[in-house]
Amino acid sequence: MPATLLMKKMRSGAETARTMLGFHLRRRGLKTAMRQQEVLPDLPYDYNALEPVISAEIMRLHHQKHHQAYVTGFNKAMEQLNSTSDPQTIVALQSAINFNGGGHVNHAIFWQNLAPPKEGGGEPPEGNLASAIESEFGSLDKLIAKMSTTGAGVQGSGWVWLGLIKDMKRLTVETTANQDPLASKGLIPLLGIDVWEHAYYLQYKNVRPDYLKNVWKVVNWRDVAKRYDSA
Amino acid sequence: MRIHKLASIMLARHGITDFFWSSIYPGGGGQPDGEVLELIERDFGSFEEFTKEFKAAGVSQFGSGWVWLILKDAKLSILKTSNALNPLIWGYIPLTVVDVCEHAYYLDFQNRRPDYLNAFLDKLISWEAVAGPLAQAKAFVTLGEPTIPEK
Repeated sequence: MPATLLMKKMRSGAETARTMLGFHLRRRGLKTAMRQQEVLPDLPYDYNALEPVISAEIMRLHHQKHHQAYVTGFNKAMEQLNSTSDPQTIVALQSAINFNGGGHVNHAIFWQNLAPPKEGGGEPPEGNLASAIESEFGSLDKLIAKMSTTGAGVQGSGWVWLGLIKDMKRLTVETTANQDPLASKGLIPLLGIDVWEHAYYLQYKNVRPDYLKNVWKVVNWRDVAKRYDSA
Repeated sequence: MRIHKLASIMLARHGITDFFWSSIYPGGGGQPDGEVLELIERDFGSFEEFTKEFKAAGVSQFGSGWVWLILKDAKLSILKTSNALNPLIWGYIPLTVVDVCEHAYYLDFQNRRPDYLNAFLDKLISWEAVAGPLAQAKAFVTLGEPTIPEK
C-alpha cells in the first residue's frame, strides 16, 4: 500500500493488534514476519502524461528504477533488522533504513503532487490553502519564486518542500538533504519537488533552474490542498 | 555569510573536480604495477578485494559524493565523502577519486551506478596519476620499512 497510508495506519488499532499478536507469538518461540513488505505504488498517470515538462524517459527511470530501488532497499534492510537482535547490527542498518525508507516516502508523495494539465496540473490552488499561501507569502507567484530559488540552491542531492508547522497551522518552505523526509524536520509535507539530478538531468542537463521554472506547470495543487486540509 | 559559505563549497567542489580530471584518462583502467600494486596487495589483500571494496563504497554513498583511494596512517584506504568534503581536511592524502554525483554518469549510465564504477576501474582510472601524490607523500610518510643508509 502507499507509504503515506501505511504511516497513518501505524497509529490504528489494526497495527496495535498485530503488534500484540506478534509479541505473543514471539514469546511462544514462533517467529513470524509480522511486517508487510512495501510495494512500489502505481503512478496515477501514464509515463508520458507530464510531457513536455518531464519526459516519459525520466518518469519511467525515476519510477521503475529509482523509486523501486528505494522500495527494494528498504524491504531488504527491514528484513535484516527483523532477523537480528545484535545492537551493533541494528545501529549499522539505520542509514540504509532511513535512506531507502525516506526515498520511498518522499517519492510516494511526489507522484501524487504532480498531475498532467488535463487533470488539474498547474491550476492554481483554491480554498484554505490559497488563503494560507497569500497570508504567508503574499501571493502564489511569490511562493513559487521562493521555492524555485531555494530548490536551485540545494547543494548536492535533496528536496525542496512546502511544509506545514502543525500546531501553528503555518506554511513554510524548507529543504531536506538526500532522502531525508520532511518529518525529520518536524514538519508535515504538503508539496515536495525532487531536485536530485535523476529528476531532471536527461532533459534539462545541469540547468536545474529551467526544470524548476517549468515544473509548476504540472504541480497538482488539489493534492497539496487536500494534504493541507487534512493535516 | 551565505555567499561566503556558497563560495567555499564551490571552491571545494572545484578543487575536487580538478583532481578527478587528473585521476582519469582515455585508455586508462586495469591493474597498476610496481609499488602501487604492492601496496594495494599489502593493504587490501589483493587487487580484487580492493575493487570489491571500492565499488561497494561507491554504491553505498547515498546521494552526491566521491569515493577516494587515500593514504591514511601510512596505509592505503578507501573513503567515501559527501558533496564537497575533501579528505585533506582530516589530514589524509588523496591518491585518486571517482565522482559519484549523478551528473557524472547519468547521461551514459542513468541509474546504473555500479556499471559506471566498473567503467571507471576498467577503462578510466589513471594508475600513473596515483604514483605522483604517492611519491610526494613518501617525502614525509614512511610507507614500509625505513631504509637506513650504510655508514
